[in-house]
Amino acid sequence: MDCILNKNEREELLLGYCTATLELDTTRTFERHIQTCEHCRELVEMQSVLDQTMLDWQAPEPDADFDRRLFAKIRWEQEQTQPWWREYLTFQLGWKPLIPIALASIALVVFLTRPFETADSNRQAEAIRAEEIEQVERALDDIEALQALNQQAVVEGAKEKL
Amino acid sequence: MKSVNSNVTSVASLERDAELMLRVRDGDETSFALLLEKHRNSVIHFLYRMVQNRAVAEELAQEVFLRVFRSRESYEPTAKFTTWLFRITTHLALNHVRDKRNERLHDSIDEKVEDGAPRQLPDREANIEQKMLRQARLGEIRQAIDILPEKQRIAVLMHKYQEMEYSQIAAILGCSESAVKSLLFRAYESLRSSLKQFSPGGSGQKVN
Repeated sequence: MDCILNKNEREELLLGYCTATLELDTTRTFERHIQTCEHCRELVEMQSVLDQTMLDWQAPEPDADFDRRLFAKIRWEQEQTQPWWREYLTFQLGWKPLIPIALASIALVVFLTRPFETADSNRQAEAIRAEEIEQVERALDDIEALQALNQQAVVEGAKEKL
Repeated sequence: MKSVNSNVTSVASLERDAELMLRVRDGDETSFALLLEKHRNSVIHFLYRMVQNRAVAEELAQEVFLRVFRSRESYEPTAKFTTWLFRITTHLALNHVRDKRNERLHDSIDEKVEDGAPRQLPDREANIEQKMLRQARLGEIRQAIDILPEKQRIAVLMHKYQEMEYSQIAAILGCSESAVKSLLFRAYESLRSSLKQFSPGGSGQKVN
């Protein structure tokens, strides 16, 4: 007698029956069916043998060191992985931050000291210029005096000739 | 038929997993240790049966939990924690199987494992012939599982050893429940066929 169930129905009932996950009514209905259907009865027997064989396959327990190795990897990764801003700061840590600090300090010193030096030099330059002007005026006065003497000498000489 | 009590316990357990993972997201590493303790063995056992190599299974399991920890900040309890966990596990297992398709080494059922204890079947029967028969069947099943198509293998291992329902297997594999049923039906059919040689007429004797 052919089975009244199609392949998918049979398989689903078979698996549900063998794993005891069918509803009670469905279980009883299927049990009545396999009493009359040799094909399904054989499948149930084969599936039971398969289930038992698969249960015999025991997986080994994990190594006792498993957790320690895992946490060691996690720690290592945490030490390697940093956000970009932390990487930047980390890069700047140690002796390297002294360079920009030193440069900034120098720039600040130059900025603060430079105005005082300029004022002094301006004053000095003004003093020199004033002195030079005075010298020039004196020189001009001397030249005028010499020219006046020269003229006087010429006039007196002319008079003597006469 | 599952009892109401076991369903309630299961729901409470699932909520607990999500709660722990949310604490991990907030920086609580103790909660991560609790999740590891709870799920470590099932992940390793699943991977072992997928790749049939203990060292590789543990290495892959390490990577699974590393990825869980790395993903903690983006974790959202939109699915069961075990679904998410086994989605990662399955992804890594498939990658390994595909990469090492021709290089995979098999643990022989007769080899001693690294801890020195030989792998043994449960010693329920004193009958040596029965023991040998069971060992022979086990060897056949391991080989039959090993040559199953990858998704069928995953589905049958999750269904049989993780006792997952069709819906959860479907969520892990990213397919429909009907597709999962189809995978399982074909897988179990293949596995039953591999045992036919052991039971002509129900005698249980191997016939060449």
